[in-house]
Amino acid sequence: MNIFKREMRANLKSLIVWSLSMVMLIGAGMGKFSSTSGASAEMTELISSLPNSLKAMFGFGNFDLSKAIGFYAILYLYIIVMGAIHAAMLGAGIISKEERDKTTEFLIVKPIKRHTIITNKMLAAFVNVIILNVITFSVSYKMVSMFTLDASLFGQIGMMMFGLFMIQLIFLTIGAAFAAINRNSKKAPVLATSTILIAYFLNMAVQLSGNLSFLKYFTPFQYFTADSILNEGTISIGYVVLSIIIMVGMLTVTYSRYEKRDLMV
Amino acid sequence: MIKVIEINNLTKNYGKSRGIVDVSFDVMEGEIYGFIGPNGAGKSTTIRTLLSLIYPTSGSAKIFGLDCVKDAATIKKDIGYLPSEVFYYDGMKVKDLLNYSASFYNKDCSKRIKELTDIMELDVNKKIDDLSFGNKKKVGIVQGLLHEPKLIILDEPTSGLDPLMQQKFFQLLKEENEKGATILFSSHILSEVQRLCSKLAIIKEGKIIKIETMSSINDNNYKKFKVEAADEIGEDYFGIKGVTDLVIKGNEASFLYKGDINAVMQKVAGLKIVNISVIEPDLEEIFLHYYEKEA
Repeated sequence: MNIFKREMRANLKSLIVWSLSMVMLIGAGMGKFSSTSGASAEMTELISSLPNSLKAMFGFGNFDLSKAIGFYAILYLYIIVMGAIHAAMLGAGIISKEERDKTTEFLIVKPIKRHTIITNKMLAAFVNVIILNVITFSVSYKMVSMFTLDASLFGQIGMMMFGLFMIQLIFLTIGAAFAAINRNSKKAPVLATSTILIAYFLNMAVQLSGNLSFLKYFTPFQYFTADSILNEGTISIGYVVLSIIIMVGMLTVTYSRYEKRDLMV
Repeated sequence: MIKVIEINNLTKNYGKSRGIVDVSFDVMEGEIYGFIGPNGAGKSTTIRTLLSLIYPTSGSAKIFGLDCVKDAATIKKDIGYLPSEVFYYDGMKVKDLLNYSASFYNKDCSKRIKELTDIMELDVNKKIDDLSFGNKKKVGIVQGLLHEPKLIILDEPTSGLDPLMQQKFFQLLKEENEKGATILFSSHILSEVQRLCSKLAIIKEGKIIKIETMSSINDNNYKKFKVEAADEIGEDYFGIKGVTDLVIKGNEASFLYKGDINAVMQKVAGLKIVNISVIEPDLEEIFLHYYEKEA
């Protein structure tokens, strides 16, 4: 538990900054809605007339922009990308920083098993991810409910936040796995964020071209889209299972590699 | 006597670059064991393998009779370690770090922390980032000893400590040793090892080249002779068995001698002596001698 507590304390500042950034993103985004709400019918029309490539690039789906939740749906892509970046950097950093900061010698000579170190660190990262998610949920609900009193709102945003949570956990475990594999501690955060970039471009490619729809399994940004949540009203169990398989796979890699490899000092 | 450290044919390869090859030596309970060799010889690699920071390519090592890899966590309850360079977490105060370090051991270390910080004259309320290299080293000493370990492993521990602090540190180690702690002391500064250790292993290019007790090194090894005679000394006058590194310049001769002291004294007596000195060579010279011989 001492490692867990230390990690919670060490990540506090970063969590505050990320949370504030998330609040600002949602606040600024929904602020735009309040300023354009009078012209929202024209706005929806204008956006629907945009070419598909532009719509894909900016995350404009088939949303009703006259409604706050429709407007929020556009923001959702940016929210999950931000959540993914936070989680990936956190996962990669929490494992690799001991080697980066050369504190491995301090930690490894203590009477503690390597897998216990990973468990404590991953638990701290998990709690950080939950806190960011809960803050995002609260602020999102508060902001959107300012404009609408729809009874289904809580459920809709709740489903989107569940999607965000899955994506956070996927990228958290991908980041951790990169850090456990790589002996060069500086590479892990770069590789983890590159994965997000690739996933983001794949997401755009899937949206742009119908021929590339098989690629949707390779980008978590396609698993829980605002489009499917709002327009179909459900979350795909298949994608939840796929997400869990990815997480378990990445965690297995993290534990087994960190257990077996030489640690750099 | 109980073997505290038992290293058998330990080999570690780092891909193409050399690590250590077939390293074997035992450290008995209560010993202060010197482990010497130049930088890059493999001292830290051996120690990091013992501490399971890195894993051996082949061979094995046991501490307290337990396997260094399989039983690493159990073994480390009773190991205190001080690396050559200490690195700590950003933004921590000295007391936070010491308490964090103590939290890994299931015992109350607060009394010992107080004693050690007093001995080391360490201000526990300072931030570690603000400390000098020497003071960071002191933090390292305290955090390595705060749980009263049975085995203390030191990897080039004195760098950064001023002579007065070194003195205190050595005193502290001697006290720990008298209380029963075994010490493995790695260094390239031979006078330190000579001062503290009872036995030593010399490592060169990843291989152990000599294991000897300090007393046998000091007693049985080489004595350094400097002889100044009234007349010129012949080139092969001291060419007897046991003489090495012979340098003759006119009526002066210097050499290292190992063997029956009477044999060389008879030769000396054959000269009309102006001045003579017989010096115990320091470890440095013995060390260089081993190195040249083994090269």
